[in-house]
Amino acid sequence: MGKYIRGLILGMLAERGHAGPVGEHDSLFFSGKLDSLAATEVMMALERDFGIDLADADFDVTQLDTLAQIEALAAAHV
Amino acid sequence: MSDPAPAAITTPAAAAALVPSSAGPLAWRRAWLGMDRDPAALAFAATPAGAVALHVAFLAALAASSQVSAASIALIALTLVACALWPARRLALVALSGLAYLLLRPFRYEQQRAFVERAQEAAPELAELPHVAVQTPMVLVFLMLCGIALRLHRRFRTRLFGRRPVLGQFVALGLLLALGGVIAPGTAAHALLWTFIAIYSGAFFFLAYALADQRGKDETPTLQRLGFLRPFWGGPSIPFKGLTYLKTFEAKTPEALAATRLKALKLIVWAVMLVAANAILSRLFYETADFPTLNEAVTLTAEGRPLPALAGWGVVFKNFVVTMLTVGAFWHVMVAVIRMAGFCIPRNMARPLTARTLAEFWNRYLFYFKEVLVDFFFYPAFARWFKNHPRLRIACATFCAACVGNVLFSLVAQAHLVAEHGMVGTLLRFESYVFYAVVLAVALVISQLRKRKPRPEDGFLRYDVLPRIGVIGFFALMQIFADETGHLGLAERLDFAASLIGAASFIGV
Repeated sequence: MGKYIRGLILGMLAERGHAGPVGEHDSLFFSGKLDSLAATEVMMALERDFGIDLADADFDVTQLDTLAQIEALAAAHV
Repeated sequence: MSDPAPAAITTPAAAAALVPSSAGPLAWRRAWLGMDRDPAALAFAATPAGAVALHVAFLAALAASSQVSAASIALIALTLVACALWPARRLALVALSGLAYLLLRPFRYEQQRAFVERAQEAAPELAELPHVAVQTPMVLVFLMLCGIALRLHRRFRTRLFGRRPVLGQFVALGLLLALGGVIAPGTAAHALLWTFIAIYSGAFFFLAYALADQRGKDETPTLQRLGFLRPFWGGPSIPFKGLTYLKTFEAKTPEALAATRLKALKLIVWAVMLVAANAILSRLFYETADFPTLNEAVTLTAEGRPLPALAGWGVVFKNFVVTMLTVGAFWHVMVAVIRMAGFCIPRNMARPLTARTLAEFWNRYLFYFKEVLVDFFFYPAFARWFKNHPRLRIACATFCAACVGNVLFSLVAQAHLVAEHGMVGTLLRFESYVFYAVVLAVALVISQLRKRKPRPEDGFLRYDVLPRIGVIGFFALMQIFADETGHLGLAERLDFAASLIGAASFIGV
C-alpha cells in the first residue's frame, strides 16, 4: 500500500517537474508542490482503491498534505 | 572568499565580510538569492545583532514599498519585535495583535468604512457619538458571536452546522442582509446592523477557515482563533488559509527562524523592486506615452470614440503588466510580513508568466485566493457530486469554485453594497464580473480536462513560447471584464473587446 501511494505521488511530482526526493513528512499540497488537480487524483485513488468516503463529516482534506498522512488515512480504511 | 566560521559572525561588520569577493552583479545576485541557505549568513541572522539588522532592514523596505499605511507599519513593527523577543509565544502574540487590529480598523475597505460612518451619521441617536464608540462595541459583539459559533461547532460537529459550517455562514449572512433590507434607514438599528454586516463580511472566510480547522485534531483555544479573524498583516478579505496551515510553516528552531527571516527580507526587497518598476512603467505609459487606463479606454469606446485597434491592444497588455506588478508587489509584502513573524509560508504569486496552462496560471497568480475557492467550493462539490463520472465531477467542482465561489467571494466582500443598491442593483453591478467568472470557469474546465498538455519534446516554440502567449493573452483579455467596481456594464466592456478586433459596436453607439 505504502509503495503504491508513494509511486502515485512521485509520478505526479515528476509530471510537474519535481524530481528530487520526498520525505514522509514533506508538505505536498500546502507547499504548492502539487496543485488541487493532483489532490483530486489522490482523492479519487483513495476512494477507488481504499473505499474512503470523501463526503464523510470527519474527512478533512488537510489530512492529505504529506505522504505519511495519506498512508495513515489509507491504512485506517484497509 | 574564505568562509569564516559561522560562530564568528556575530556583528554587522563581520557580516559585511560575507559579501562576494568578485563584485560582478551576477555574483551579488547569486549571493543575495542564496543567502537563506548560506551557513555564514544564517549564523549571523541567528545572532541578536543579526536579528536587529534584519528587522531594521525589513521595516525600512516595508516603508519604502508604500503598500501599507504608517499606522499598519507601526502595528507590524510592534508585533514583529514582540515575536522576536518571545518566539515561544509567537502565536499568542500574533493573535493579540490581530485582536488589536480588528478593534482599530474593523473594516476591510475604505468604502465600507465610509458607508458605515454615513449610516451612523444618518441615525439621530448615534450621530453625535464618535465613530469608535459605535464600532468598537460592534466588534466586541462580533467576536463574542464568533466565539460562540466556534464553541458550538466543536460541540455539535455531527449536526448540519457542524458538517456544513460555511453553508451556515452564508445562511446567517443572507438573514442579516434580509433584515438590513427591512429596517428603515436613518435609525440606530439600521446603522448598528450594517456596521456588524461590514465587519462580518470582511472576516467571512477567515471565520470559515477557523471553523474548518476545527475538523482536525488541533485544539487551539477559541480565544486564540479569534485573533486570526483579522490578522495584523492586514490586506483584503483573502485569508492565507487557516491557523493550522500557518502552524505547519512555523519556524521551530533558531536556524529555521533565521532562514525564514532572510527569505522575508529577500521577498520584500523584490516587492520594492516591483513597486519601482510599476512606478517607472506607469509614468512611461500614462505620462510619456499618454495611454488611457483600461476603464478610460472602455469609456471612450462607450462614448463612440474608440481607440484604434492597435492602441486598444496596447492598453490591454499595459493593463495586464501593471496589474501583475501591482498585485505581485502587494501580496509579496503581505507574505514577507508573515515570514518575518516566523511562518515560512509559500508565496501568493509565484512566477505566473511561466505557466503553460490556464489552470497553472490560476494556481500561480493568486495561490491563496485559489485555495479559498478550492477549499470551500471545489472540494465540497467534488466530494459529493457526480462520483461515478470523473470528468463531469472535476468540471462541476471547477465551475463551483471558479465561477460560483468566485462571484460569491466578491459579493460577500462588498456586502454593504446591498444597503445602497438593493440586492438586484448589487447583482447588476457585478454583471461583468459574473461574465468573467463564467468564461474563466469554462476555460479552466477545458484546461483541466485536456489530455494533451505541452511537453518538452514539442520543441521550444510549442512548449516554451506558444502556450505562454496563449495563457497571457487569455488573462490579459479577461481583465477587461474582471471588474468589481460597477464602472460601466458588460455591454460596454464587450463593445471594447469587439473594437480590438475591429468588430461592429456591440451596443450600437
